[in-house]
Formats: sequence, C-alpha cells, structure tokens
Amino acid sequence: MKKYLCVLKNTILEFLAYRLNFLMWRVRAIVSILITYFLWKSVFMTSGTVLGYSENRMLTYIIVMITLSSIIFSTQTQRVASEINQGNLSNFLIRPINFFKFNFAREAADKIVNCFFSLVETFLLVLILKPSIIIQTDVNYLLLFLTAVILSSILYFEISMILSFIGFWSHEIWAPRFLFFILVSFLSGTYFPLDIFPGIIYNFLKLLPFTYLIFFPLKIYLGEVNFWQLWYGFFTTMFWIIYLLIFMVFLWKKGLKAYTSEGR
Amino acid sequence: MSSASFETFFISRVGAVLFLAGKVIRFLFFFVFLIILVRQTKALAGYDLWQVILFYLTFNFIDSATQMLFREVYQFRQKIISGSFDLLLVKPINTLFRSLFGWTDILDFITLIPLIGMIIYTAVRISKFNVIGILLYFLLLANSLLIATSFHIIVLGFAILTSEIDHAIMIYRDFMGMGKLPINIYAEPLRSFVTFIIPVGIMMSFPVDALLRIITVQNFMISLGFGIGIFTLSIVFWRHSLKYYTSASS
Repeated sequence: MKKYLCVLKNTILEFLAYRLNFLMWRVRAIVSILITYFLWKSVFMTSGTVLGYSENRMLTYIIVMITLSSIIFSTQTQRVASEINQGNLSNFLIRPINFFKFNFAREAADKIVNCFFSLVETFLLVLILKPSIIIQTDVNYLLLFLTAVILSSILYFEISMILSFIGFWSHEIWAPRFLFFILVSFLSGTYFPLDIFPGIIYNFLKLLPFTYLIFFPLKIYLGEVNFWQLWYGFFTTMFWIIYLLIFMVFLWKKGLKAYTSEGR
Repeated sequence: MSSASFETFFISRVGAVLFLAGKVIRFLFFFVFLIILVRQTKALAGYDLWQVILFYLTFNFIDSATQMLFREVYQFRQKIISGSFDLLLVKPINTLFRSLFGWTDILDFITLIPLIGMIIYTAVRISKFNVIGILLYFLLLANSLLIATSFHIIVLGFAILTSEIDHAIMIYRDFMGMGKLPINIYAEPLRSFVTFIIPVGIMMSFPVDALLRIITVQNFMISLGFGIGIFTLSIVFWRHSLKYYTSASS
C-alpha cells in the first residue's frame, strides 16, 4: 500500500513541477466554464424555460457538469497506451508492483489535483458571476452524489484502460481515443441533459455505462431521482463496473501474450 | 512539404479515418445542439437560427483552415527540447516559414470543402447581403487568418523562450472556441475583452457581421488595424525569441 501512496504523491509532484504548464491547464478549465455559462445565460434571456429546464436548474446542471467532467474525465491511463507501444511496459512487468494498482494510484493523484482546483475555481466563479444556482443541502443526496461520483470515476478508469489496451495490437492509439471521447462527451450528458431526448432514446441511453458518468450523479445532486431511479442507477453502474473489470483483466491477459516489447 | 504531409495520410489510413470521423461527429453534435437550442428560444442574442448557423460555420472554416495550415506548430516543442531545431536553422529555407507550414493537415483540408458549401447555402438562405458585404466578408476572413498566423508565430516564440507550447496553443484554441457563437451572447466586460483583447470577436464574429451588413466602419477599421499590428508584433517577437535559443540537448 505504501508504494502506491508513493506513486500517488510523485504524480501530484509531477503536476506541480511544471508550474507554467499547470497554470495554463487551469486557465483552459476556466475558459471552458465561461463559454458554457454565458451561452446558457444568453439562452435564458429570451426564455424562462428551455428544454424543460428552468434557468437555475440548467445553470446548476452546467456548472456542476463542468466541474464533474474535469474530475471524472481527467485520466493518466492514456500513458499506458504509449508505454505499450514504446516497449516501456517491460519496466513495469519486472517490478514488484501490481500494474492496475499502480495506474489506479496515478489516476487517483490526477483526480485529487483536478478535484481540488476545479472546486476552488468553480467556487470563485460562482462568487464573481453570482449565478442563480441550486445548492443541495440535503445530506442524504450529497452522500449519494459523492458515492455516484466515486463509482463513475472507477467506471471511466476501466473504460479508459480498455481503450489503452488497443496499444497491444495497434499503433493507432490516439484516433480511437479521440473518437471515443467525443461520443462519450455527448452520451454522458455534457452537451445537454439526457432526459430531453424522447422516452425511447432516453430509456436506451440508461442501459449504457456513459449515462452514469455525468448525468446520473448530476440528477442526484439536483435531487431529481426517486428511490426506484436511484436503485436502478446504482445497480446499472455496478453491473458495468464489474463487467468492464472482467473485460479489462481479460484484455490485459490477452494483450500480454501479444506484447513483444517492441521499441526496447 | 505539403505533398509529403498528404502522403502521411495514406500511411495510417485507419487512424486518419477515425480522426476524420471524430472531427465530423464533433461538428455535427454541436450543430444539432445549436439547432435544438435556438429552435427552443427562437433567437440567440438577437440572431435567428440561420444567422447563428452562419457564425458557427464561419468559425469552423477559420478554425479548420488554421489547423490545416499550422499543424507543424504542435510539433515544435519537441524540436526545441531535443535541440533538433538546429537542423532547421542551418537549412537554406526561412526558419519561420518551415516551422509554421512544415505539415499541412489533409484531414482539415477535407473538412473545408463541405464547410464552404454549407456557408454558401446558409448565406443564400439568409439572403440579407450584397456584393460589398461579400467582399468585406472575404477581406475580414483573410484578416482573421492573418491574426491566426500571428498567434501561431507568438506561440512559436513562446516555445523557444519557455519550452512550453502544448497548453499555450490549446488555450488559444479554447479562447477561439468562444467564437462558435455570436460574440454578443457574452456580457460586458467579457464581451469587449473577447472582442478586442483576445480578439475572438474580430476573428470570428466581424466577418459574419460584415456579410449581414451590421458591422460598423469603426469596427471594420479596428479589425484591419489589429491584424496588421499583431502580425508586425509577432514577427518582432519571433526575432527577439530566436536570440534566446540555446540549442539545449543538441
């Protein structure tokens, strides 16, 4: 356990070592919030309700969505694909460490840094812009929200690792990731809330894992889920976590057989 | 250089097709999002649906043209930190030209063709323009590309001074992303900031304003003045930064 804490600590220090890089990265996050915020603010200037959402519900949705996105979609797993392609994976295979725990520690470090700075930036922007947003005060909803965020982070880690394992069989590692990320962004609800879709499409989306990355935790934060929806949401999230875990380990074992340490 | 860049497309065909698909899907997702949004509200910051679409298409045209031309900039950092920039300096070719235009991205070139068709179709649907409007639109588009060139030169200079480029170029692109929509949606003082300081408004909104005949003479003159000014400044900055190149790692 101690060695993985060391990995976590070192990854955080890595972020802070390149301070200018780090500063610019945070500027990007703020710009992203401003663009989305002003777009929706402008939309609500002419309409009290848009897509069935009132101004405060929608603004809450997009502000929490941007904060959540920068936490859940932040990942270090893209490094795995490069490590496989360049043969650097061999360095990990001969070390007395668990590859998945090692990567999970790197991922956790990334999320800790993102979580801290995202929350600070969002707090400051809310103070400056003073949007009319919903502050959830019900402890039960907040605890469920936190649980959903942790589960969605695990889910995204697994999805992203599986994508990186493409590196075992192909050098085309960035293009599938780029395409996949665009699809995930849309299907997880970062463009707009998924419940604006017609019932049949929305019900289909609820079967996919992507809904539970952003949309489901957000609906919990807004307090817009009943007992049945909570049960269904957490059950489906757990189903995908277990299913993808099995698939990820299966791919890893298959991949190792195909791995030739090319490039070393 | 361009033909060599185009040939790389055929080396990794699967990757290229996936990247192209990603770019098209990303464009379509936001396009659908805009249509759903503006249909709900009837207008966005005073612009109707077709006008908003024209802003979005013009933004995509400038963005794709810029990425097509300046893809080499994204590889510049590696040349600086590895010291292989030395090899460019000794070649009998203008170093700035080579660093800017060394790799033409065929994927962005492919997306430009349907974009031009969509811009023409949308402009005809709006039918609120005249010959002068069209000429000013082209002139301000050229001016936008000049400003984009200047920013890329500044990013190159910045890379020599700090070895940093990845986030600098992405920040440029994030700010430019604010021009996907009419700049009037942003509240003051942010609107003035993104119009004249960054200057997303000058690059992305003013050409469309010219086509719709709602641009003021003052904004038109500011736009051209800014283009020439920042281009001159970027060249001066590039020459200045070259003096600080240390040829590290070579």
